[in-house]
Amino acid sequence: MLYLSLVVLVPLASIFLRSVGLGWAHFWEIVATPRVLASLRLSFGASLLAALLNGGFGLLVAWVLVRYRFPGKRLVDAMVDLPFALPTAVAGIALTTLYAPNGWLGGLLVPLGVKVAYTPLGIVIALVFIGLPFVVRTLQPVIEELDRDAEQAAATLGASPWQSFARVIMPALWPALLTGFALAFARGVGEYGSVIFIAGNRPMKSEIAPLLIVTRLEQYDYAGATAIAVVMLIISFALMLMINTLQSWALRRHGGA
Amino acid sequence: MSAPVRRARPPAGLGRFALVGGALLFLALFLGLPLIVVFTEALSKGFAAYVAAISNPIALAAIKLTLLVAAITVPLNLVFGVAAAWTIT
Repeated sequence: MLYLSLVVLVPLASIFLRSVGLGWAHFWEIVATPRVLASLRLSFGASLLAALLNGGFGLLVAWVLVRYRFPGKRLVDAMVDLPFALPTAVAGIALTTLYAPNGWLGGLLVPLGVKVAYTPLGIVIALVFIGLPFVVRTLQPVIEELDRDAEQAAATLGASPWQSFARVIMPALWPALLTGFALAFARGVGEYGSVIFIAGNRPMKSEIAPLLIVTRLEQYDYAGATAIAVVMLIISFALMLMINTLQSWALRRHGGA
Repeated sequence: MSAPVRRARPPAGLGRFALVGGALLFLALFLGLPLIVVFTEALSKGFAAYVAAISNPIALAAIKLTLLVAAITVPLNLVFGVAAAWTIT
């Protein structure tokens, strides 16, 4: 607990202490500007969308990696961790190169009227890239532990593959899926390096809240930076608490496993 | 009676192809392509330029520092992370 307090709580407490010195009215004045609110909405919205995408595709990838054999499986399995190891700035620049109007994918998408680089869509793609390992890695051990007898029992009782997936497999996976989702979401909210390169960072359109914090810091506006940080912390903490509650509810429904 | 028994196996054929194919397509698009871009950009000025860039003393010092910090923090997190997980469950 001491380690947890030193590593996690002390930095968080110092942020809160700084913002207390601001006074409520001044704090509100900083936060309630259209530019700050737009950046907060973008940060949380893009992270939510990316975490949802990661939840779906991460489940698919984890399932395939555990249950199927195919050539190159070990290589693919190892590749899943790379977004963690790759410096986020490198990831951001690589994705921008790929999705820029003259990039490999951007060149294909722009004629279709889809702009990815320098738009919120690009932010979502960067966050999908960064968050995928969280979902895959939390689900893999749980899928490995799944009781195949239950699936076979469901099948012999006449359940279709879809029914056994929805009624037998998913209830066991929900808690881990929620954890992975929460981790990917949290990482997306705080992500900076990979996003700023692909986002274009236009105020009100594609400027994320962490970037706004850095901008304020560069202008020596520590009060402004802290105020935005505190709002992000409070929203994140409330969301995490909600997801944790949902998770313990899913655990209880699954028979206290 | 034979139909339910057949269903007991994981979906074969088309279902299997769709699942594995879908997963691999997603990974290729979202993970594979960005990584390929990193490599092609790194080697875009030829292999000699690449070697010259990473044997620069500043680059070497930075890589050394990164690995050193990781070597210190990972064991710390391993020990205290397990302890923290133990306490909150």
